[in-house]
Amino acid sequence: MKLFRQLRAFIHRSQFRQEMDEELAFHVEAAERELIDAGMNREAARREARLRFGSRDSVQERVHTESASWFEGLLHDVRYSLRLLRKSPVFTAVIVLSLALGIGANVAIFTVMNAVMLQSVPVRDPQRLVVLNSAVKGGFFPEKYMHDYEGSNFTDEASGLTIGASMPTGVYDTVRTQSKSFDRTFAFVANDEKVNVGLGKRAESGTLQAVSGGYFGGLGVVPALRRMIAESDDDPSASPVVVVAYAFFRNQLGGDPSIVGRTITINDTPAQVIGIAPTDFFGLDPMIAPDFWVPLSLYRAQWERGNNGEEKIDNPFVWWLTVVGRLKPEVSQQQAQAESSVLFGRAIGAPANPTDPTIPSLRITAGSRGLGSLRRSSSSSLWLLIGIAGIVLLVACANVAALMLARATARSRELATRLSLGASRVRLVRQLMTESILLALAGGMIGVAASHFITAMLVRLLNNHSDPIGLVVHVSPKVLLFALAVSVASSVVFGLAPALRATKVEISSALRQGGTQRSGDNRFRSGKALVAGQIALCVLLVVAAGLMLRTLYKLQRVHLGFTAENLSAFTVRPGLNGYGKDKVMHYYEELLRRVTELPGVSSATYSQFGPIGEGWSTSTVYVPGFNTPEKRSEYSRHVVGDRYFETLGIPILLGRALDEQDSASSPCVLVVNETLMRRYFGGQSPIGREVGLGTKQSARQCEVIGVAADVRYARIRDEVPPTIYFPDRQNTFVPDQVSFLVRSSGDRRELARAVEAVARQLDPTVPVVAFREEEAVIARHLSLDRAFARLSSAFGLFGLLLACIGLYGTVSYTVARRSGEIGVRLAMGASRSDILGMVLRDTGRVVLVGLAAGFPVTWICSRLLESRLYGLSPHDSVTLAATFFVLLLVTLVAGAIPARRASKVEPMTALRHE
Amino acid sequence: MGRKNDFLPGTLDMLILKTLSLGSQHGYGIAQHIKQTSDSVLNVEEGSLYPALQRLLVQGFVKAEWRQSETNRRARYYSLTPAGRKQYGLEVSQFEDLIAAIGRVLQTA
Repeated sequence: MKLFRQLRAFIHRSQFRQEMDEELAFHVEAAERELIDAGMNREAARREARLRFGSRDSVQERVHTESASWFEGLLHDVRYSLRLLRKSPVFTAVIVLSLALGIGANVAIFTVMNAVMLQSVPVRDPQRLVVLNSAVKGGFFPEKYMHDYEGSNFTDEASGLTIGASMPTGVYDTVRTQSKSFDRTFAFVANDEKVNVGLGKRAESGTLQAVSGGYFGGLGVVPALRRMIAESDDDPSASPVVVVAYAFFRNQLGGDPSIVGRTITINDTPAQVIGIAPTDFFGLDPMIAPDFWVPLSLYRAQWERGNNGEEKIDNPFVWWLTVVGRLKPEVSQQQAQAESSVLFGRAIGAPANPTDPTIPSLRITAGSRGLGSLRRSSSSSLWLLIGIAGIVLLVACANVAALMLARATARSRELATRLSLGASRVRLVRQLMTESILLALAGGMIGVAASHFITAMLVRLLNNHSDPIGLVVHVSPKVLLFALAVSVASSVVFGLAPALRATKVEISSALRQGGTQRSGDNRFRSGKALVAGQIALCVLLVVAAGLMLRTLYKLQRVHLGFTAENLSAFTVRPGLNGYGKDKVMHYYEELLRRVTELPGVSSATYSQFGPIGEGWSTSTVYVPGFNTPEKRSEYSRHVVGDRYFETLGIPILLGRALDEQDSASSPCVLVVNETLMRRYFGGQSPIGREVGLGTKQSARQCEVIGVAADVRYARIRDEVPPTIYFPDRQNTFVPDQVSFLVRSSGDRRELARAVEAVARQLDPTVPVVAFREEEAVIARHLSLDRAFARLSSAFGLFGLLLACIGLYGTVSYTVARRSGEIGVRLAMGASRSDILGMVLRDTGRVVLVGLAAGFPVTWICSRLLESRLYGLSPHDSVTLAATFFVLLLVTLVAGAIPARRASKVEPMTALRHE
Repeated sequence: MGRKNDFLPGTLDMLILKTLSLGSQHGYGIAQHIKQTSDSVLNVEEGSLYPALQRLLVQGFVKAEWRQSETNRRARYYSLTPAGRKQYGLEVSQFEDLIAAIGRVLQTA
C-alpha cells in the first residue's frame, strides 16, 4: 500500500509540485490575512508572513523527500550508475559483451528448446488432443496380436516398455464408434510415404501423409485455399482428392491458385487438388513435414494393390494408424485412458488392463505438442547445449562478479565516507545492485538481438536430415520473459555478493588507511576464489571442446571403404508408378545405359542403398562349418548393378567382382566383405564355398566368388557389419527404387542437368530425386558433429578469454593495492625478479586451485558427452593433458603481464603515494 | 514567543493527529490550532508541518482533499483515516508511558 502511494506520488510528480505550491501559497496568504486583521498594514504583513515562512523551496524539497523517496532514489541511482559506467567504458564494454554472449547463447537455445519441447502444434485447442499409444514389454509385439508394424516406436529406458503410436484399424473403428470420452476421433497413417507426383509435363518428388476424413475437422485446420479433406472424401467410392501443403504450393507450384481444381498424379493415381493447407501446418509429427494429404481410402487402395490384394490392411495384425482423440470438455485424460483401455483390449482381443506386461496395453498421451519424436531425437543434443551455454553464462557471471568486486573494493573509501555520513548499508547495496542490474539488462538486450543468429544456426543444426522438419521457431513472449529472468538472475548472482562484501567495511580503518593497504586483503580472497571458480568451469568447457574436436577429427579420418571424390548419386522410384517388375527392371537398365553414355561419366551403377546415410536391410545366412541352417547369422544385404565395385572404387581383395557373366540363368553367385570373411570364415578364403540363403520354403545355395574391402553404409560411427553383395540380375525381387551412383569428371551441376534430361526423355513421370555429390553427403552426415565441435570450441575459447580477463583484472588490482608493500620490499633490497616471482607464485596458486577443482568435476561430467564421442573415451588422456597445459599456460601469461608491471614499480613513487 | 522545534521526537505527528481528530483542517489551520491551544508555547514551523503531513499521507494515516476555505479560497483539507485514528491512540499511550517514565526519573532526585 505504502509503496503504491509512493509510486502514485512519483508518477504525478509535476502535479504534486503544483499542488504543493498552491498549498504553501495559501498558507502564506492566510498568515498575511491574520497579521492584517491584527492591525498590521498590508505591505508589512506580506513581508512578515514571507519572512516567517522561510524558503518555500526548501520546504517543498523536504516534503518531497518524505513522499517519493524509494522511486526518486531509484531514479537517482540509475542516473548515478549510468554516469559511473560511462566513465569507465572498457570496464562496461567487457562486462556487457560477456553477459550479452552468455545470455544470447542461453536465449537462443531456449528459443529452440521452446519450439521443440514446449510449443503446441498449430491447431485449434491443442490441449484437448490425446494420442493413443500402445506399450509392451520385451521390445516386440507378440505375433498373436501383430505381424506388421508401420511407423516408429521407441523403448523407454526407465520402464523397459516399447511405446508406439500405431494401431490396427480395429482399434480406430472401435474407439471412434464406441468411445464416450471423445468429441471426435480421427487418424492418420503412421508412416509418411515418398511419392512421385506427376504435374503434367514434369514430375516431382513429395512426401505424402494419408489421413482420415475427420482429420482436418478434428484438428480444426482452416484452409489457406478452398477446402480440406472431409468425411465424404474418405470413402472407397469417392473420387480421389489431395490437399497440398503451403510450402510445396509456393515453391514447386509457383503459388498459382489455379492449381486448385486441377488433377495431379500421385504415383499412378490421378487425384484432384481440392485445397491448400495453411502456412505453418505440418500435422502432429514435427519430424514429418508432408507435402500432400490424401484420404485413407486412397492409401488403402494403393497399399492393397502393392500387396497384390493378398493381405488386407484392415486385418487386425497390421498396425498402421495413429489414432487421435479430442477430449470432451468434461472428460479428463485419466477417464479417457480407463475407457479406451477397455475398447483397445476388446479390439485386439486382449485383456483390458493386462497384468502381464508382454501383452500390449494402451497408453494415452497428451497430443498438444505433437507426437514427440523430434523431442526425443533432439532433446539430448539440446540438453547438452543448454548445459554448455549455462556454464558459459556462469563463467561470464563469475567474471563480472570478480571485476565488480575489484571495483567495489577500489571504491571502499568512497563507500566508507558515505556510510560515515549516515547513508544506510541498504542504500549503498541498492546503489551497487542498480549498477549490476543495468549491466545485466544491457547485456540481455544485446544478447536477445544476438540470439537471433545463434537460433538460426541451431535450427540448421537440428535440420540436418535430408527431409525438412516442421518446426516453427520464433521469439515468443515466453522467450523474452526467459531472457529477462536470466538477466536479472545473473545480475543478482554477480552483483549481490560483491555489493554485500564491499559495504561491510570498517569505516575507521578504511578511511584511515585510504583503502590501499592490507585491510582489503582478506576481502580480496573472494575475488581470487571467483577467478579460481572461473578457471574450474573453463576446464569443463575446454575439455568438452577438446573431446568434440577430437571426435570430429577421428570421424573425418574414418576409412569409408569407397572413394567419395567425384562420385554423384541420385534416386529414382519407377516402382511407385505401378509399373510391373519387367518394366521397372528395363527402366533401371535403360537409364544406366543412357547415364553411362553422358559426357564426362567414366563409370555408373545402381544399388538399392547408396553409401552413408541411406537405409539398409538385413537377412540371415547359413555358413556351413560356422553355424547351422536353423541358427543362421545376420548379414547386411546389398543388391547391386554391374560395375558397382569399380564405380565406387571398392577394392576386390580376393576372387573377382560381379559382372555381366552373372546373369539370371547362370549359377547364383555373391561377393562378401572382409568382415564377413573374418567373422564367419575364420579369416580363411571363402572363394568357391557355398552358403545357404533364402527362406525355408525356397532355400538356395550360392557360391562366394569374391571378397570386397569393408565399406561403411548407414552411419560412419557404426561398425562395418558382415555384408553380402548380390547381382541384381539374379535377384527375384526388383526394388521399387534404387540409387544411381555415377563417377564423372567435370562440372557436376552440368551432370545433374544432363541426368535430369535423359531421365525425362526416358519417362517424364519418374522424377530424379535428390541429385547429390557424395562429398557433400558425407559432410552433411557429419554436420551435427561439426556443429558440436564448432559450438563447443567457440564456447571454450570464450570461457577461456573471460577467465583470462578475470585473472588479469584481479592480479592487476592486487598488484595496485600492494604497490606500497612492493615499494617497501624493493627499498629493503628485494630484487625485481623476487617481486615478479612473488606475484607469479600468488597467481599460480589461484590457477592451480582452479585446475584442481575443475578436473574432478570434469571427470564426472564428461561422461555425459559419451554418446556424442567417437573413438575416444570421455576421459581421453590427450584431451585432459592438453587442457591442463593450455589452461596453465594461457592463464599464467594473463597473470604475468600485471606481475611484470609490479616488478617495474619505482620504490620512491610507490612509497610517496602513501 | 513560543519555542521553536523543541518537540520531543514524534510528538508533532501526534499533535497533528489530535488536531485532525477534531475535524478536517488545512495546514495553516492545524498550525494555528496547535499554537492557540498550547497558548503559543508550541509553534509549529511550516518547514516541519508540511513534511510531517506528507509523511502521514504516505503512511495512510491521513487523507487530503481540495475544498473551499472559509475565505473562499481553494485549500487542501486533511482528515483522519481509520488507520490514523488507531495510530493516534497508540501514540498517545506511548507518549504517556514516556512522560510517566521521565516523571519517575525526575522524582527520584
